[in-house]
Amino acid sequence: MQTASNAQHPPYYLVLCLLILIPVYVLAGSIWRLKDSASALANYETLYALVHAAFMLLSLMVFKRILLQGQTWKVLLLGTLMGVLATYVALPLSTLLALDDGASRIANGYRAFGWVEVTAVNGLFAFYSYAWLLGASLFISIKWLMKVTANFQ
Amino acid sequence: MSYVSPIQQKQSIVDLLKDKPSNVPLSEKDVAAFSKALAPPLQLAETTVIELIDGGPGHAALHIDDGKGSPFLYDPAGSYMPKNGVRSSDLMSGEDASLANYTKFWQDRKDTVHLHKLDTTPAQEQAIMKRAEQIGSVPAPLCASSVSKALDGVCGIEGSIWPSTLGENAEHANCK
Repeated sequence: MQTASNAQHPPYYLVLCLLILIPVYVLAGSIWRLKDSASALANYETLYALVHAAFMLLSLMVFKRILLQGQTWKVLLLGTLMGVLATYVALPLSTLLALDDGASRIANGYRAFGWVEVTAVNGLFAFYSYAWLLGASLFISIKWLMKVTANFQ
Repeated sequence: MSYVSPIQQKQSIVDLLKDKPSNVPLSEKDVAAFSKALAPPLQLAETTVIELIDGGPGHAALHIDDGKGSPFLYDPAGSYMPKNGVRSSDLMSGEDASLANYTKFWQDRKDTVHLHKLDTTPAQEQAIMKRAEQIGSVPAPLCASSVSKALDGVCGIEGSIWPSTLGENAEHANCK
């Protein structure tokens, strides 16, 4: 009984999430920055990774119950969705924060292409940047780690 | 260097002559300039669709050389940095818009640069530049979409949100 209460204790859960999240995003960030990307704007990738990681941490906190008690397929699906959703949040937010003309860039994008195309292109970005895989891996890793640490205690 | 639109017409010799008071005789220089303006030399202008293969999703950009020394570069959501180290927007003109420098910049970073040359007319080039200026700077994943929209089907090129598909379509362009 002590094990279960430890595992579900908020600080313990937060530390565990950060233990997984930090190395994953450091690794992902270093892969993204192995060389200058032709299609990304200067000083943009780091902030994108930070916002993406912050959103994932928030979703791990919000969906803690599903993560701990839900079935594996549900956790995988939720992680995938959150990874994609984090991309939708991180793309405009990092553009706004990293670039002086970020707001006008976003406005230009929507004005020129409309909501449908911008949403579709951002979705494709989430697909080819493997954000979906990152989200699913994070969620399932934390679920697994919680299980393992509970068994050890 | 800030962007100066190549579309903006420079004052022609005819405009200069119009401004001149009628009682002032024309100089030899004015006459020579007027004669030159009447018979402009043959200028080879072209549009280039630039496709970059960077090991990721790639990138697309657009270059127009008007043959008069006023090149135009549209690098939507790109990270090319001109030689002077200042990039004010996705639209570049003058020295910043050098195709040779742009190509070298990416080749130095071990990226593959494919240049798809289009035999466009001056009117088509003006229209492409105008559309690019209307779109302006865009956020990260909209490079190929922006180039596609600026081209707007010129030479039968079908637009794409993928740089590689756009490059392939530009390769099969027919400008005649």
